[in-house]
Amino acid sequence: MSRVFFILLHRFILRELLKNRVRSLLTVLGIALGVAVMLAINLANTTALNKFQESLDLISGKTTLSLKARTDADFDQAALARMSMLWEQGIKFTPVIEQLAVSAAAPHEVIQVLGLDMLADRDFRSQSLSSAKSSDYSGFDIFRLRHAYVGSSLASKYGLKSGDSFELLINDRQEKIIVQAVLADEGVGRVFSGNVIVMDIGCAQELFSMKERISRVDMICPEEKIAYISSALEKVLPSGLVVERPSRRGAQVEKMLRSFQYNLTALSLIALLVGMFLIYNTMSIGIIRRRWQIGTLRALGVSGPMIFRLFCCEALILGSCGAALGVLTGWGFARYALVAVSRTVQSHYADLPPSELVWQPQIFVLAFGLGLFLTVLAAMGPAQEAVAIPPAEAARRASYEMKILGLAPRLALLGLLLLFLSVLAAFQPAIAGFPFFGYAAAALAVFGTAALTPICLDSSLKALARFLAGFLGMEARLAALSLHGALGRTSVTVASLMVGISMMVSLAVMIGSFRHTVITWVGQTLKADLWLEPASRAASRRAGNLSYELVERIRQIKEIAAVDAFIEFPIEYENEPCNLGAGELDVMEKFGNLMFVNGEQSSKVLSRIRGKDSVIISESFALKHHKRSGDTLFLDSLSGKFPVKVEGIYYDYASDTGFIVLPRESFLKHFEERPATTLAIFLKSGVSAEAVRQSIFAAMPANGRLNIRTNKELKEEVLRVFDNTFSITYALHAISIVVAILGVMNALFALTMESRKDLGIIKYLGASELQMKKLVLIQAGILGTLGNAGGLLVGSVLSLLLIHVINKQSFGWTIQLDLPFDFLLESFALIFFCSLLAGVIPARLAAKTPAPEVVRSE
Amino acid sequence: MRNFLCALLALICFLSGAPASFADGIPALKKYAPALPGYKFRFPDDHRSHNNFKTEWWYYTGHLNSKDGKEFGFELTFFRSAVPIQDGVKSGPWRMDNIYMTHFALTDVQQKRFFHKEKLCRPGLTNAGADQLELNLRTENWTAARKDNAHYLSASDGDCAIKLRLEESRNPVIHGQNGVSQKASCLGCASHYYSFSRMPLKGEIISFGKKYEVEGIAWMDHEFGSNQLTSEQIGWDWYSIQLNDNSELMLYLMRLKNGKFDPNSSGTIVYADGKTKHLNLNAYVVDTTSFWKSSKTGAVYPSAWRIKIDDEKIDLKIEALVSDQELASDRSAISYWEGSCKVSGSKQGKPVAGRAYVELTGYDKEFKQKI
Repeated sequence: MSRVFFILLHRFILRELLKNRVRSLLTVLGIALGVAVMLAINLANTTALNKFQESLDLISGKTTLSLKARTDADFDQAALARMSMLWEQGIKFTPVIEQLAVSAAAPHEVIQVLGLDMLADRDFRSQSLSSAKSSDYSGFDIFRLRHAYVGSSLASKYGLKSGDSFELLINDRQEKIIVQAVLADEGVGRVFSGNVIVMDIGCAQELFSMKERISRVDMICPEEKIAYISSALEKVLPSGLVVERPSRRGAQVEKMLRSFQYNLTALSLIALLVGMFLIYNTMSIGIIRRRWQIGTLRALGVSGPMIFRLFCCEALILGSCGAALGVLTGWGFARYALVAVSRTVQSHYADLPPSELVWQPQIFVLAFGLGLFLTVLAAMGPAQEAVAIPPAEAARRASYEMKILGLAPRLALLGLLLLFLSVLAAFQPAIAGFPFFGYAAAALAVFGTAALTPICLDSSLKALARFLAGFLGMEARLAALSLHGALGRTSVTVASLMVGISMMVSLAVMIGSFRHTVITWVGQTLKADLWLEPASRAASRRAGNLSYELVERIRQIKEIAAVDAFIEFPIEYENEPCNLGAGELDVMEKFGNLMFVNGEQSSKVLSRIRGKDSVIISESFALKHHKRSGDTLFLDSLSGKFPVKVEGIYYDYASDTGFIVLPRESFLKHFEERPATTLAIFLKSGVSAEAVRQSIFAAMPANGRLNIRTNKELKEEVLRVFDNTFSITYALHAISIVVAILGVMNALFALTMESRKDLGIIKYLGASELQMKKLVLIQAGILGTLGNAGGLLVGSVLSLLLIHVINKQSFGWTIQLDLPFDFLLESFALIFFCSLLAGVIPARLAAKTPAPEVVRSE
Repeated sequence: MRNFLCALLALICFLSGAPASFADGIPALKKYAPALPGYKFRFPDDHRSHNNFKTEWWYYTGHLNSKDGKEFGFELTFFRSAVPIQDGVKSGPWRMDNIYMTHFALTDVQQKRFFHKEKLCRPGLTNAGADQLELNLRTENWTAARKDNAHYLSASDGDCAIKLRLEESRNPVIHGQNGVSQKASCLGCASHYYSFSRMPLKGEIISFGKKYEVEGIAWMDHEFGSNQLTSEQIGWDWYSIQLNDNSELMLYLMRLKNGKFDPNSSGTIVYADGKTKHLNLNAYVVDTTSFWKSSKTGAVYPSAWRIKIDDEKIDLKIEALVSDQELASDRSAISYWEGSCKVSGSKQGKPVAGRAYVELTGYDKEFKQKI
């Protein structure tokens, strides 16, 4: 590039950036936040999922094929005897038990327990011990009951060494194991990030009271035999068992998490989008202000492309500073994002191994690159404008504004078209369970309204001038008209304010509505007086169940009117993960209350199911699988598929993978009985819940460990889980507020600073310093109010899209719209205040502007 | 002597995943019957599993010829090892009172290829076990059973398999003296040991994917005891020689840390008429005349020998038919060499020839360190 370019870059761009330090800094911060949020969420998502995948791979080891129950339950080990044909083929196979336990001592961490055939498993998975074992132990001691190897991370967390005992929560009991040795940090020892316990299969069966059942049979089958072996095995084994590649497990979990992760990513991109508006705003105003200089440069022979390059460089400088800062901040944010993401995944989808952030250069490069790219992209329009400035016209200050006014109708048409497309997109279905069109509709709505801004401002500013003059005086009229006079700048400012605020509003409305919906749902459906679950479930929804004896003993307590022993476990329906539940629906019919989508009374629907092979399904299941009342589902049982009729669709916000709920009798007909996972207990009238809680504790064996919650406690718990789940959305929301405020300050600061010349004339005409300050502050107030109003409008549209399209298509939840008025009022006040604040410095400067100097330059 | 130490150590080291001292494996020895002098063998009853002894193995090796003139060697060995676990799983298929290890090897002499596999099982659903009433051995689909004076062997893995019928052509040969084959000087440091030293066989094999009908001669060992070795012993060389004059010879040499042979090393000569004679260490001399180095384990094994028994006027040259017949184990971390060999030389002044199986343990470096 030529020397001239660098001289110009230095004098024309860098100096400007430094001169307008505050504005440059605000812009950089805006980009940085967008990049940081995107980076943090991406890092958290990939870290959590990679760790999970890594753990699954380590569990699989050299396994190329696995036999498991279709229902995801454990199954009778007698199946092993039918697999002897594999020996002839030279194919090794080994049974595996996979369970979860929770450490009894705080922190109550989820631990993966593997029951392996310690004689034969070396062929499948590598395992070695880190510490030389204590001399008290021989190699055979791993076959002693309760003896186990523990992962190194577990050992260091709880200070375990060979010979120590370690207390675990297993189902509804607390059990002790003996640490025989600590596993080295490789192979099986790295499963679940080292939060792993490995035992001999027989001992694991005893510890988990699994009788003669196993979770899986792993096989090492050469690739070319896989198809043949799969079909041969399925011929000799019960139809409830299925042969599949181990990679399928990871794929299923990925599928389950996809909606959640895509949505988080999409939300994180919104922050970047707001950042883009900031850039657009800064660049546009900068260019409008420098029209005269640009015109002069053009007249002096600087080529159009060079002007374009200069402004692109300005964007590059802002963009790279912002992106670099964003990448650094993002790394800091990611730690918290990972905690939040892991917590949500843990409570709703799958047990995640604890994970620490891993330096992933590709994500850093991507975030930096995307930040830079979007910045330059946002700058393209303004830069193009700069190129289009003809040398002769440059000296005429008003021309650009006139042009914008002339363009306004055309922009408005474009805006209407975009809004129309947005409406169209809003009614499109999800693609592969992800609301691409929903997000497209949101983006179209934002751009559409932005394009409508000039025409709206044209009329509203004129109206405001008349209206405000009435009680704020002459200054207000002047303020509004001066904004109208600079319609281009004003439009850009108001539009970018609007985008920032709309993001904040839409998230607030969505979260507020969701929370309110859940509160209503909890209030109407959680009717039981006491809820009981095994203590291990507190740490993981997939760990543990209640022993039959205990449930029987609880049923005997005479203050109890009825017990609904609910069984839930993950299954697959049409290759999609979901949950199967079985409950005592007669108890639910009498005591409980479910909210049905069609408004039908709970007891009426449940009475129809009694004694039949019928089910109720959750709304998210219905939406995901396009099922309606009256449809027939085909469920996999251990003996093959069986049909069930859908009798009703109920609201449920506990799971987005969906629930199919069978009456207990029907469940027992098609599945092997399994222990209950939770109990809903209904008390006789006038009985104290606390007293019954104590009776249950008394009925429990000495090592029994249960969580018993009263109705009130459970409701609180549900909200706690909800808030935990939404913690990352809350964080995004907070960031959106910061970005919105940054946007407001940046835009106003820029605009008022750039209006100094106009103000100079006004001063020249005789305005006092106080009047000047008032005028500038009123300008700031007007912009803040207009931005707020537009933001509310667009935000409402976006929140409708979030609630009715994006959320519904992703998760299948109906959310009742509920406006969080208090929050909206507070945030409006805050933004208004920030607008005024942003006007203070320019106001002071305007007041001090030496009039003659400005006018001379004009 | 065979593979006792190998089996035991393999199990222990494998299970513990860490270097084990020899004493680790036998903390509860007192529970098991020692092999004491005066034992009276009773056949066919003694072919069964003797679960009151800690360790036991049934060892089949043999030399096979196909109709089209190809030669093969095979090894199928079943080990039983009682596991002293007091508070393990008591019932069901995962109980651990005995564990079973089986080695299957096949040598294709012409192609100079060697196949070997190992299985390690508990009674389990995987069908492992040894009956206490008759000879009936199983680890998964590898089996050996006796019916009407014949032994039926079957094993397959991938592209190698054997299915053989072995006949008891003569009475079992009891080794050692007074019912025990002494391995060290201490009382009970011995085993009860007998062989079928010549078993004509017929059957079919699959060698690296190719099927052959075969005939030949096998050798079967059965040995049981509870405490046979001392920490001074670092390995052994064992020879089973079948000569074409219808006589056989079994010799073993226990190698000591000090480089000498344990004086309890011994052998048995089986004459053509079935009569036997016990040989003390001083009755025979074994010289190694050649070595082979394993590229897998780095161990250097003898690969050719000269054996002289002056009293019997026996002078034999033994040479491995295939150099690499090492059962290199990636799992148990203990490797040994066991292979088919050819024999030539003279006996009573007349030329003789034959085949032998030789077992060499304790040559693997790691193995030495462990002991």
